[in-house]
Amino acid sequence: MSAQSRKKPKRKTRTRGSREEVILVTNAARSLGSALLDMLARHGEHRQLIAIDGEPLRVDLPQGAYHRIYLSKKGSSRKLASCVPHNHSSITIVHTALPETIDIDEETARERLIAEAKSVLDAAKQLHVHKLVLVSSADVYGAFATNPAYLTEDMSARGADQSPILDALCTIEKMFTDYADKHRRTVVTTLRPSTILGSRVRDFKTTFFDQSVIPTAMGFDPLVQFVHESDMLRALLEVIEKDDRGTYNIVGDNILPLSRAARMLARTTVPLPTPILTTAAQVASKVGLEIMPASYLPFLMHTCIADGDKARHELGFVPVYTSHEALLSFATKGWNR
Amino acid sequence: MEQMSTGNDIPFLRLLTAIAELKEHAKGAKREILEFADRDPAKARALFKVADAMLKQFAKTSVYKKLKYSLDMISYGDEERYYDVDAFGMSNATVEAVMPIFQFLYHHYFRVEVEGAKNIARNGPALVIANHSGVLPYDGAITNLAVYNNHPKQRYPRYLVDDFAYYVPFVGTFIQRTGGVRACQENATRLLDHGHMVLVFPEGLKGVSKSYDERYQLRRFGRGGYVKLAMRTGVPVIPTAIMGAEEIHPMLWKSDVLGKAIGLPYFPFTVTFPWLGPLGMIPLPTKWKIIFGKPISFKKFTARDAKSERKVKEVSQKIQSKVQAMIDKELKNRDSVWY
Repeated sequence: MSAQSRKKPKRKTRTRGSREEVILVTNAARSLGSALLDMLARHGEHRQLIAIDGEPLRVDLPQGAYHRIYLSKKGSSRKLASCVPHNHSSITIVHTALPETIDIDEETARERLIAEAKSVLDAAKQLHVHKLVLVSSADVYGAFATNPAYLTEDMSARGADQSPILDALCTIEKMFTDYADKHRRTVVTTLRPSTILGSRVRDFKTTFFDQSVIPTAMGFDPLVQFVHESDMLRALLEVIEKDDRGTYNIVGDNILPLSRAARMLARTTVPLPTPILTTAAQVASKVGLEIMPASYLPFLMHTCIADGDKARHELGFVPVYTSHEALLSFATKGWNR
Repeated sequence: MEQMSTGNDIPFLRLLTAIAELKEHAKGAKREILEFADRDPAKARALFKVADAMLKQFAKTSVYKKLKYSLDMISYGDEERYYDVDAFGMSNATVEAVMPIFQFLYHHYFRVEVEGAKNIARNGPALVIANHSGVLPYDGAITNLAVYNNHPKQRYPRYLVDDFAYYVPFVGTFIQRTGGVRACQENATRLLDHGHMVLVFPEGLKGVSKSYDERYQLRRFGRGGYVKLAMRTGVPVIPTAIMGAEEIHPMLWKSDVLGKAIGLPYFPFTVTFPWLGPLGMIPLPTKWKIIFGKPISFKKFTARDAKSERKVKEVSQKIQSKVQAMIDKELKNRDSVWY
């Protein structure tokens, strides 16, 4: 299969003028943000990168590209708007919403996530940005026994009922689509990746798989799917370079049971009856053990598998890694650089 | 196809370059390799071994590690892949593990007799519509086996299962691994699109929980979801009658309140359960007969017909009376429940 045959010719690539196009990456100090900056720095000729985060960056960027802004703080949108130079051709903001760690209680995390997104949208309004890319999560569909085998983008995101974090993501997605409705000229794209695995990206879900002992719900073995970080980055590059409006699931091919994933990672599973597991998760989060957010427990019981067909047909996104391979790549970490 | 077997190393080298640079066509090359490995695993493994040795000698450590990893991923398979699940969560390993138990039930315990085996679709998607009964859904598993045992290519149908099963620990997972799929339009459409044969009990829970005096009287065929499905997809419907299953657990009475307390839709009181304890869960050894009727074509219907409630109801009732007629005819001819 050649690269040309996959791509639809009708989508237009933006013409680049002599002036630079600005790409603003929020939460740039997180692992996904760092990986994205790294890739954009390698791929961009006519691009100016701006990295935003409250924490110091992990990648080297040219002088002046990094701005230390806590997005959840008041007045951050003005600060955000002021760090964009005037001589640009267009502005793209990439906002990675899914938190890396849940180090505070989930309700506070929820408020913070929404505040961050609000600042980003306020800044976008002031800057008249050309494009907004939101990295959400396929978890927004929620893990329910009543889920169909494959969840498509047109189905409602019911995860808000399950977890404050997913509620935040659903709210943020809604804020972005509302923005798109109000500002027709802005291209708003939402990506919903399944659990991102690879050698670099780390978040609370990879932390869960990194434990030597994985707690599971007794009698339940949900199906899981993964996407490799390089596939995720390719999808991001695709939507940054071309104008694709709408929401897309970004997932790897194939699915596997959670127990099998644990076995492939050579982890020991400890099946616990659901009530005990719930209590254990709540106690663990109270004493500050970062095993997993207690509200994510349904994901250990029920299946939440997203369908990647829309991204395949409309974005031309074909994942290179299957779920199994993403998992193996995660297992062998440093190897597949 | 022929070209590849003569030039073994060509796709392999292409793969190496492709993965090393992670170019766009890596996926295509990988698929070629996988196909090749599938066709001739022994040769492929030997090739990987040689390549591995070569790499060790010539490549830099970092490159070697990267390529070794790619090689590992490709040779991952065979034994390993056996434990994988398909797109709907069915695991061949589980099916093969439980098959002997159900084959015993099929051949020796229920002594299943099959009529109309020629009506089982040879290939392509189809809907098998049957009467549901028996308190515990043995009829699903046994009908699946009836298709499997009587199809020249051992076709294994997928069966649609009510939501509640997925809330029950172990049960939901077991059902999924053995080929069950949650009953909803999206899943059923996708199964048929994948070319599967799908077993549906339109009576649903109301059918399984029939009491003994209501045996062989079909309950309402749901809201006709399966008819809508057949109309939209144009897939043929095979009306099926299952005889014998209605007597395996003669139910005297059921309690919804007790059932709700333990997380089940109802709690049955049969002639043996709960009086005999766990022994009461053993089904009675009735003689079964499964009759597959002539397939009903749905080619003349369109997706628009599926929107008309009247048409759906009409067709659903027609199919229901067809199944009921098959049952009634068989009941008349049957001498005994036991042999």
